[in-house]
Amino acid sequence: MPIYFKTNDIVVPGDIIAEGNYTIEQGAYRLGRKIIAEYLGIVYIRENKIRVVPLEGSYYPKVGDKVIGKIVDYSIVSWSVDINAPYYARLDANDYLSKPIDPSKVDIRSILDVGDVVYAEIIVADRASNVQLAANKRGLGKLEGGILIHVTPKKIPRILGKNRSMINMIKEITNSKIIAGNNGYIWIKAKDRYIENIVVEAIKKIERESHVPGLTERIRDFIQKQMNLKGGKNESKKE
Amino acid sequence: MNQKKNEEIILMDENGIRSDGRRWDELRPLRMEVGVLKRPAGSALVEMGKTKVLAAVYGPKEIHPKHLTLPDKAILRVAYRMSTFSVEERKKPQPSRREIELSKVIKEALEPAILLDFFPRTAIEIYILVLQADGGTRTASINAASLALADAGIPMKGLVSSVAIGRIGDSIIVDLNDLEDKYGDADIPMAMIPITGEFTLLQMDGIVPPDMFEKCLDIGYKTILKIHEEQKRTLRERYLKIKEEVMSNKKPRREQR
Repeated sequence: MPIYFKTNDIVVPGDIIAEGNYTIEQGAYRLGRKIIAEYLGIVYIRENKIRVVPLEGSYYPKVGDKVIGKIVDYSIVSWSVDINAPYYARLDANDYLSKPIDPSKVDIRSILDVGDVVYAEIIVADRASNVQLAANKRGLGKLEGGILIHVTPKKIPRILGKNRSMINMIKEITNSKIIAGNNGYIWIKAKDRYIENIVVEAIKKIERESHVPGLTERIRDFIQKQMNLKGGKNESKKE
Repeated sequence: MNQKKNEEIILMDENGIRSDGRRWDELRPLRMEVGVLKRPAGSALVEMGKTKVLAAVYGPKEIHPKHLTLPDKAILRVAYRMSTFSVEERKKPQPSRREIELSKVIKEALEPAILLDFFPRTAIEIYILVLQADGGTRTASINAASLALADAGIPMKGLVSSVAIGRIGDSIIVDLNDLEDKYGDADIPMAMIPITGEFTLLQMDGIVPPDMFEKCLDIGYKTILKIHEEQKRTLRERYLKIKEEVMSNKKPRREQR
């Protein structure tokens, strides 16, 4: 059972990763005895399991994902939400408020208007029907203030880190609120614009360098250096 | 036969050297780059000699008009366009018959390689712009489009690679330029998915004897493999470059600017 790549190598579509009885976990297909990559991505081989994690790609909705969406349209009892996927998602008013609304008394736009940003969970997404959201759980709902940025959705797991270690580290050092939706939108709110910019730069750095080992250390150094620069600035102002 | 058309044009001299100094089996200088555009999901620039082609991939996204939607897979849309300044005499900007036909041919060359059933009810759009034309724009377009698709993270069976094989008199030539395309005896553009061995494009303009045609296919396959290697290298290199940069220079990026 020959293997032609090793863990952490970059593969392109059509690369023969291995031949023989391996289990494909993700991102590859079988042609005869050959196992061939489908994506431009990084290959992981553990025992006889093969996984190709794509480096690029758009978001495709999946039930249970938590996403950040922008309201783009409204009807009497629901909103249309742009979740950076091929289709708009639908958010019913009773899945947002946890109770039905009376459209004759309440204007839906007074609750959420076009342009507002919500953090919601995907409750329905299959190949036949449209995507439905719900935002009635703890921690979900409208996001106010802060800034919204966009990264390649495939890099979100790297931004979160193992057991959310990366994002927690960034939050801790910069003392900011960060919500990363599975769809590639990231919402950041910090004490001031300068810190928000540091977080944005750090996230862009993760996106760019996610395939290079030693990422967490580099990001920690980067943020600490930037924060020290800011500290220096404040002191000089006081003087 | 060529002499009759234009006496001054010599496509191949006694030593077997072609009009631009190449031997029969030599490719034109090949240059490929991915991620050249910011807005699209994926993009690529391919230069084969003087032919320069830019490809951009958008999507998967919602289909308009809605009735074109397929319930089980994505549709592929390809727009091949030549810029007005790409040829010697200004090309009229409206889409010509040739451009519409080439869009279809390129679409059919790429379709078998893309795993379209991953994205039901969506469209994947490819825009191809010829910046400079010197023969072989359809083959360069296919090479560029397949790079752009991989750059966009769209799942594929394998990259599609393409080249044109031709004939001048008794000799077979590889990767035709404009002159050889116009005054040569035959032009066979072909594309294939090297990993599965499928031909996805095979056209012929001119006359080739049957035994020579078989030979053309063989030579085409060998040449396509060369282009395929270059495509793979280009895709990998982009990430390896960042890796090298980061590993060799541990300073924060701010100071490098």
